[in-house]
Amino acid sequence: MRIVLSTVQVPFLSGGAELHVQSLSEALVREGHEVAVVSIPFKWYPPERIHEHLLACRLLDLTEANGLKVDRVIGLKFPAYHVRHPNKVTWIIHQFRTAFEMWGSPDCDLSPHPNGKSVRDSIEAVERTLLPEARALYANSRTVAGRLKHFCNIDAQPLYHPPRNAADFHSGEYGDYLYFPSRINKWKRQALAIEALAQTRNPVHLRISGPEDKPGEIGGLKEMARSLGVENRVAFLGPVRLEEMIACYAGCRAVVFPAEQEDYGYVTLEAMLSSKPVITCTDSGGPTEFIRNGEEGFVCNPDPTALADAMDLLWESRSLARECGAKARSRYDEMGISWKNVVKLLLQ
Amino acid sequence: MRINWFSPLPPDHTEIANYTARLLPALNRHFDAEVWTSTGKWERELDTICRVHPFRHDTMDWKELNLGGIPVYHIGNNIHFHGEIIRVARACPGVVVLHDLMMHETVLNLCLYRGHGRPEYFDILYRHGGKEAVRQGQRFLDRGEIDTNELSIKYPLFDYVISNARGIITHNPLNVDALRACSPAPVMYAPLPYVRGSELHQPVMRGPKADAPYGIIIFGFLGSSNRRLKPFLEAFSSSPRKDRYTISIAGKYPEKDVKRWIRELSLEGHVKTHGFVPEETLEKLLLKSDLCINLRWPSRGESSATLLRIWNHSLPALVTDTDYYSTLPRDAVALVDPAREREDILAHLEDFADDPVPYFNKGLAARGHLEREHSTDAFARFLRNFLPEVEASKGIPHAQATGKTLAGRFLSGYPDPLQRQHLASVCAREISLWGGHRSALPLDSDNVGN
Repeated sequence: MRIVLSTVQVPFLSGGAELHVQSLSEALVREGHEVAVVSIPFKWYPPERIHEHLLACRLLDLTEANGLKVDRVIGLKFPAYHVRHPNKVTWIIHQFRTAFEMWGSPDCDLSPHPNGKSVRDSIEAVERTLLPEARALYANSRTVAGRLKHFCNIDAQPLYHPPRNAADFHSGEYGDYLYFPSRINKWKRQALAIEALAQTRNPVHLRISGPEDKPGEIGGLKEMARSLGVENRVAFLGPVRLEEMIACYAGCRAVVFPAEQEDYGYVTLEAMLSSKPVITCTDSGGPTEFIRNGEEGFVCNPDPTALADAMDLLWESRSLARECGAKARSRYDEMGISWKNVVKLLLQ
Repeated sequence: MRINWFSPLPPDHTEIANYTARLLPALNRHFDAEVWTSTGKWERELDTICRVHPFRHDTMDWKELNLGGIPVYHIGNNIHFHGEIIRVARACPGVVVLHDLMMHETVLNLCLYRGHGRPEYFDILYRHGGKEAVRQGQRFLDRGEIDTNELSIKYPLFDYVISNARGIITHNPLNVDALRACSPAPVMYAPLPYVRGSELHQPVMRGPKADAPYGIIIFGFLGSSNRRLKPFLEAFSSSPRKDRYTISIAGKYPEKDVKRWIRELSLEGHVKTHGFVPEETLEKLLLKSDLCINLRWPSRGESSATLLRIWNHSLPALVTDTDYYSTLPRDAVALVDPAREREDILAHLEDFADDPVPYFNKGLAARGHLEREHSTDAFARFLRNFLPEVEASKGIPHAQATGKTLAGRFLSGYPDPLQRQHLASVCAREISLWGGHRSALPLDSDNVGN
């Protein structure tokens, strides 16, 4: 099949979504398909621009290219998933979040605009009207599907995919540190993990890796650790190479990932692939689709005390960590998370 | 349900301020109402009824407004009370209660004194009526060849103030079609709310006076020439029955001019001017009166709270047979044909002096009409139905205009007008598919309609 992946790109920025598109493209090629990624530049400010970019997407003709028919379009990100095509399948990575679950939050850059509510409302109307154009609708996770249902009353089937380099993750010793790999920003809640560390009964050690979204984030966390008297129990590794990250996963006692409202959360899957238990939170979104409290890890209330209790449990019992880790790996295998499955569903 | 109510408040001297003050208790029974007022003044007792926010457009907390329920903007023709409200209404979509259709002077003043001056005014005129409108605007502004009344009738410019409305309410049923013709938002007529249950006066039975003169009252905001104060005094001065009447004038009016007219018409013995009087004084004047004069010509498309106040006293009133007033029940008002204004005034003065009872009966009928149609609670109930309907309507409005705007913006340097037209229609067709077009305006409001 000749397949177009329709997505948006903020010029000069690259992150998880771009890797996701790349992985999907590679998986489709592996299955013998011809793939083109159509990446439309996206600018969301001032809010009026959102509709102009949507219009730009809608005016594109992707039914054929150079005289050859395009058999399937797979829409991935707003507003690019609204391109027209008679054989479009939409796999929503996430909607335009500030119009939905982030609307009105301190981080919402839409609600402080005079016409912010109007734009929000019209985006909702657009989603309700145009998303059903797709012949099939998938969401990146149950969390994303749940938001779509909640805000737009549209059903989508969760479709999980493996993290990049899934085959390289492996299990090692259940060592004397917890591991928290992620970009460093307030939504990932590294600060919550450090607060929890200060409340543990045991001398729990935590390794945090990942790049900071804004300069000074790590400095702030270090200062916080100092003020809480746990600076000797937290190590900031900064951005690490893939092999180093895989090794950290393999050697840790457990993975800590209390992020807020994750769409999906690769960290969870990478931990499961490494046979490690995951400590996450009830409001973490995606991770809670994989981790059951007391089974593959712990799902705590998003407060330091609850998190500290889970850390202590796993610190005090290596065998509990091993047992939960094994369950995590089994669950991952049972869920059939593979690119082969993704390709099959998107093209059926 | 929270609503953000944008309106002047007492002690601002405008009937819309009084209107809001009368409405607030009823609103609070149905909504969590917060009031926003731009003049910075309000009677402190209003703080016991609702939360009042002073505001200015340039320092507006848009987030609070966006998260806090639907805005309801009260727009009249006085730039001092409504200028800031218009600016917020054009920026942040909400429901507009349009109290006046003739917005030309207001828009002009908004441009000249609070906006971008003449170029903005001419730009608005161009969008409204093309080159001819600009030419007429120049005739007025540069050469004084036409007056604002004439300009307002030709180019009322109300579309400018409702350009971003998600819903529109008018208290004049005759305005509905004009509003619907230029806005995709739902337009509803609701009778002007005036009276709270406790404020409804008992019917007043009046009878003929054999010896004493009948009291005529003219009151309210009489400064505009369309209130017909001078023409009435001129007609009155020539009435052979003028000795059967005394006239009281109260409210806001050009005092020096009025005193001069009275002198020139030799009416010193018939007319008493009171100026702007406290409520209690006005009530006493109304109680002592037998007939009210409430003329408007040309009409500005407004309804009249003054008239409802008159009705609450079971008073008969002379009104101009035009626009809103021509929709009033015939048994409740005495009509003056604007084309025969002088003759009709004289005839009514004659008839009333001969037999006032038919007029007093009109006053009683009017009071009954007020009780049935104009309660504040009825209006609050109307809003209770209308606002959720507006809230529920989401989508891209103005598809045609938006398509045209985008095509204009992106093909501005493109030489072929047919290509521009083609893209405009393609964009419009596409946008109209995006989920209805009856609600908020997500594109730059200032560019729509270019």
